[in-house]
Amino acid sequence: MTELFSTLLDTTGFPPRWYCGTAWTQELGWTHIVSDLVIFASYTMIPLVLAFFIFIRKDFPFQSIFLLFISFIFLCGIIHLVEASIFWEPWYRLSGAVKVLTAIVSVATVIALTRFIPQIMKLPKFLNMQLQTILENAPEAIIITDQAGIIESYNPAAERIFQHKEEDVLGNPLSAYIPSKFLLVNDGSIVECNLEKKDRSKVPTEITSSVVHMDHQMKKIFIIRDISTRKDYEEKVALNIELQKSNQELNSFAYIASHDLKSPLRAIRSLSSFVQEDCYSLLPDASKDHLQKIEDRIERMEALLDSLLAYSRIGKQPTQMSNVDCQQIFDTIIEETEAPEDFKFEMHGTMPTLETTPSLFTQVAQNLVENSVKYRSPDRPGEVIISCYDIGKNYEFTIKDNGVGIPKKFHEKAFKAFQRLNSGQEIDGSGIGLATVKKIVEYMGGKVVIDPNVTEGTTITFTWPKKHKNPNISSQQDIQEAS
Amino acid sequence: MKKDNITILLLEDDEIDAELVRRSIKSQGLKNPLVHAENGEIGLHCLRGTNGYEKITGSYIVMVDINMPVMNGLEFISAVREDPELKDAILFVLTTSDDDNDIAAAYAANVSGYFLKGDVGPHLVKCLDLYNSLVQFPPMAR
Repeated sequence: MTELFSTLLDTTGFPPRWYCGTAWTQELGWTHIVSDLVIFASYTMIPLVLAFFIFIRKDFPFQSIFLLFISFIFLCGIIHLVEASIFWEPWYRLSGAVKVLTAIVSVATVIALTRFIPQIMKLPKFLNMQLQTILENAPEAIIITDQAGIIESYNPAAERIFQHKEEDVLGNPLSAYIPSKFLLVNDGSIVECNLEKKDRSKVPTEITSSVVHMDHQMKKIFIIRDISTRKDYEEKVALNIELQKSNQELNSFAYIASHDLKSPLRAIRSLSSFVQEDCYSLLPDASKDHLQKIEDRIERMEALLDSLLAYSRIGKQPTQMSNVDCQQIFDTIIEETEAPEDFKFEMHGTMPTLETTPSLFTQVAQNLVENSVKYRSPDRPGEVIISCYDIGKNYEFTIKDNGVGIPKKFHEKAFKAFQRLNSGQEIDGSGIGLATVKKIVEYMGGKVVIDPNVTEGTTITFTWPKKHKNPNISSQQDIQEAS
Repeated sequence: MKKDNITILLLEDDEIDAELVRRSIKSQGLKNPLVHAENGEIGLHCLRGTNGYEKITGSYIVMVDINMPVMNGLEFISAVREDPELKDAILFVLTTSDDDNDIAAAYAANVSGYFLKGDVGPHLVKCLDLYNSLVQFPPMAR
């Protein structure tokens, strides 16, 4: 090794360049020396910069080419340094060795470059890289085919929607996956169709396709959107509309049925009264009793039909808002109830004045107070406590009685129409009172519950909004503000 | 004017309801002639004397049911109001319909009163009797 070095550095037999030939002037000599040194400096800096770049950008392709460039440029620099030094130290052997090394690296660089050039040519242009990012991140399947319909690009969204892998579909005709009739329209319009996934299940989609020129070739771009979420939503909306329709039909059925049932009922009442008028005195006592019972039943049925009618009308009639003095409403209801002498009514809290629909509030209050009277306990003097508290956006009304109460298991059932928890003989009721209360309170945007923790009697609480949210109910203030 | 001369025209498709009115009139001792028409169209014939029906002469009041076949009460009322000879007629509605739309439509056509069959009973006849004895009829219908 040391021997090799001393041989390379051996200068015997060569004069320094200054003394090689007789024409060297200071100017010519220093021109060579300075230029060689500047070239050496530059050829050292260039590989340093390149090395720094690939050290930072390890992701950059063709790192080996970079390494070759770095070595070959650096070696060229060394050649110039040696050339400059030969003016004093004529080590031509060292110079030859460095040149041989440089030549080898240069040839290797040429070979590498020619081998890598086709791949380097394929490197996407800068703009295409942006497009690539868009393709990869688009929520829509984007499939690019050549003019004949052979798939050239298949983005991740397409893989996700159709479950095919890109490498499996590239080179295949798109018509193998999408019926060709959906591929014929290339004018940018939207075609809706159900497409098959890899597992043969269907997915509703929208296809937009267009013909474009890319890299001097005609390409077709298919953008396919998975619209299953939207379809689900549309189905729900359609179902909802149908439901609303059938609800409406049910309401009008209830109205017509109860209305039309009333007229034969009235006829029966008239006929029974005719019989009474014409021959009451001739009738045996049993028949007189039967006639009386006919009338009682007619009355019950009329009451039932009336409440059914009222129930079916909730929310159907135009609601008129006005100031409702709750104290006054409860006073009137209490006055009109058929409560026995010892039945006690108490009011707690300050009753508010509401801006609401008087008839609806009255119906709720009346049903609840009348229920308390109707379902009083035979064992103790009846008592009802009516209270109202301001709880922010709502008023909360509570009607608490000490009556027969509703067993806890019936609390939910109690609010359904025609659910009567006692037999018709005992107490005369339509079975629709609480259903009406619930329908009205909910229509107005409130809530009604039976207190589950009360053991004696019934405690019903309902809330009534201070400001009505229902779009059909607008306060007079709103109307004034609007105008 | 003698109130007993005032004709009561009853437009009612339900024969039992019609009989109820007839009986009430009788039981209250009213002597007014009662003309019964089964629907609005027959009612118009009675007022105009057309189609073989005898024309009601002198003062009259009309009791109109709303729900009737062929021509219903509201159609009858508007036909009367559009007829230059009949337009001032005194019309009462006597019906089972307590629908706000019906009530509003009837008053929009200037009926003199809207009664529900369930509410009135024999009081209605008394009420009509008193009404007939006190009211001034439009000049044309005297």
